[in-house]
Amino acid sequence: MTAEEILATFRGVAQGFYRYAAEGKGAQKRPAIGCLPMYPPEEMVHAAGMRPIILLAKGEPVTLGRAYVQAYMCSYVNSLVDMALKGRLDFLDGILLPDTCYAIRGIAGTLQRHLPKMYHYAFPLPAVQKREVAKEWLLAGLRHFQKDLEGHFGVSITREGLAQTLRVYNGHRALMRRLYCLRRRNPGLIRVSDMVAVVTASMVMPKDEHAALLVPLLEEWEAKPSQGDRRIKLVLSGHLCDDPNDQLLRLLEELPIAVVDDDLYTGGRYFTTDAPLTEDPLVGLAERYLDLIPCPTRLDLSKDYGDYLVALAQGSEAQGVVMIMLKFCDPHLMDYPYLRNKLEQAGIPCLAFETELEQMPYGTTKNRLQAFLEMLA
Amino acid sequence: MAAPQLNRVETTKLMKGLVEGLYGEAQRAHQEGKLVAWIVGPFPYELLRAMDITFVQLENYAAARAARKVTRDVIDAVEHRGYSPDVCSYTKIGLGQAVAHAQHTCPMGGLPEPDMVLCCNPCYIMNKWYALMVRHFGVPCYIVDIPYLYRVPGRLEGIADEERRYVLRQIKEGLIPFLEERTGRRLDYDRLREIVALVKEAARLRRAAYELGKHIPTPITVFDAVISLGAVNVCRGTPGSVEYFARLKAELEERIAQGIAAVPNEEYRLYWDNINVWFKLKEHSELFASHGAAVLGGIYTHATFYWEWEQIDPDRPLEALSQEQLEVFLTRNLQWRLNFIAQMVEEYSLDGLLMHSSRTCRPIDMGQYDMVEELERRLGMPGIVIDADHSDERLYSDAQFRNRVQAFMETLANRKKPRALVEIMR
Repeated sequence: MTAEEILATFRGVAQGFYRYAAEGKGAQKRPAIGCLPMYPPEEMVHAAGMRPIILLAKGEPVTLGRAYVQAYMCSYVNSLVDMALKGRLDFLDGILLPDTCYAIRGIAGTLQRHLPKMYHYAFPLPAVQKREVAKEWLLAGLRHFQKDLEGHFGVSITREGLAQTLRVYNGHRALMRRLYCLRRRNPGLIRVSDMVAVVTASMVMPKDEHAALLVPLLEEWEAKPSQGDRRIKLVLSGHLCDDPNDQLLRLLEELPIAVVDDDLYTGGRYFTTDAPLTEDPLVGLAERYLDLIPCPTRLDLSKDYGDYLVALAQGSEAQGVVMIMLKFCDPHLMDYPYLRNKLEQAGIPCLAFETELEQMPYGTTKNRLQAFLEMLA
Repeated sequence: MAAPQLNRVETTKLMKGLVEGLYGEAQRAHQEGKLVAWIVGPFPYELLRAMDITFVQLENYAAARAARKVTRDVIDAVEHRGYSPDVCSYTKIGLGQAVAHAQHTCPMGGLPEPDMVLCCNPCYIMNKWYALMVRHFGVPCYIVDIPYLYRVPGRLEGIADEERRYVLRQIKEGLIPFLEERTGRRLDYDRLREIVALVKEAARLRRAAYELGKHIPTPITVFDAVISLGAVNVCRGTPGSVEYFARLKAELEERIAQGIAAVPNEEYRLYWDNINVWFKLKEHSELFASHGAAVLGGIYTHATFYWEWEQIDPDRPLEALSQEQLEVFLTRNLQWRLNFIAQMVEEYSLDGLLMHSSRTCRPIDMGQYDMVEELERRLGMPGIVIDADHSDERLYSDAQFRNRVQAFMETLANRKKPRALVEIMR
């Protein structure tokens, strides 16, 4: 397949995300476990021979969910509960809910109540990174989850099976990092919406299948010489839990902007850190959790998210950062003033948008972006 | 229309002195050579008392500002710096105090700058608040990470050993060494045991006092119960706290003996979910009294703060402190909330559920619609979710609140007493 054909495949999967997810079950008959953002232990699901599917909200207008989630909760949980009530998640055999933030904690019970027939597992996570005591607790949590999953589905997760999964996942991440490296060197290779589609597709396709398509794509593109790109280079940051609004991506593509790097959930955030290949793979999984990419939902005073964004911008030679935040996302919104100041101190202007379920207003958004570009030029 | 008759509790008048004493201590601390800690969250400050570290508990401070309606300047200061107005009101006020140094509007005469920032985070927002404080002040800090108890439905049901161990180890191996390093002293365990014994006694008296609310008519409503929380929220481990609840209990027993009801024309007894609307306590107490409704309380007043006092063993103080952190209602899942409300309905003979959905206290608001629906189904209990805010007056509409309450009271009036329904259903 050519790179173009591979991209088209990924695009097709991303655009028909839940159709692909539901159909995939039919063909292979492996149980499908819906995993909420941001850091579900999906490796355990994979090692159990089941299909982990990241539950992106995909911006569906909320109707039924309004009766159960206040409008002033973030759009992600609003959408997800709405989807559950509409039966969009009925094809799943289970739901895995990591302890991401209070909003996700808060819908655990609601999802269980409205999807009573499926398996539910809420996976606790330490909010504070890098502590030995947290590692002990995490390991206990992982063992508990393993036993619970095995018991419920009558499967067995072996040490070698989990070790193999970690290798597959790390291998896949390495390929994605190569792709991102390529984009930094040669931003003209791929549109931002296509890059998001590549990552989105990896959230529903089996990792080895996705990796098998990435290899020829990378081979073809790595052979291409760098083209000069006169567009303004930007980093796209945020949307920690959900894919970015289509309208925004289209606008970025309409304007003379080259997105050279990102830390979106359907982006860099999903594959930046690997699990160390420890003798006991559970330990590797736990260690990965304690040293994640800086995140507003995790507390790590030794690893500053502001510094991370500055490094991301400088490393990709970006002239500015466009930051998108889900309205009502407390972790992100509470970090915003600090992040903006850090970037500005480093001479990197930042343009921020708060996004909601509704469409971004085309005119105003375009104006703000154009004004931002004029300032950067 | 004549002002509604209601009998507010007398003992709450002691709160002012108790709380002012605490802040007075804080203001004198540096002069007296003591360290000052700013605390975010329900922290085991019994340890600080045992080490002569003075503290300011920021939620208490924010609530005090809100109750006295002096929040505008600090909230403005924070929003000017780019913080969204949707951020938790407690945080806006606490952070606002830090960045604005708004001493002249500070109701308790100003806060000393902290020598350290400490936190326990059963509520997710506390992590962020803590981090912002640490960045702002640049002082040493420690946070005890409190797990959310996804798997535990029952009131006292087995909190997993792993969770217990996680919290206890952080206190023993992280927090205490941190405090010892800051003070240059070892923790005096004997002193800690004495303090925890006082905590236990005050908790016992508080529960006994609040449970007198089971009496029909109740001698106390949530409006006085929530004010009284100050004595256990920030004054734990002091003789003053024990004395406060002893007096409260005596006053309520006296009321029952004399047939004095908090709401003399009590016709309906209600559950209140989430924090109260701090800047409308008096007005709300009158509003509900005018409808013949006695609001008893809920998770904020009748769970948490060592409600399960029998579990405290003063000889094992660290275990007691960890246990309390795990039992704060903020760590509890939907199932636990449902069971709690159902139990309170039964014990306090409640007729309806008033779920305060606080615009900026979203963690507690989540699942409220499910709770109302489920309890209607299980118990035939009418419930309503009402939007307001616990501390930011701009996010509250009095007209809307009153209308919603009015509509709810009409619903109650039109329904048969749920107790009768429950009998039929059995």
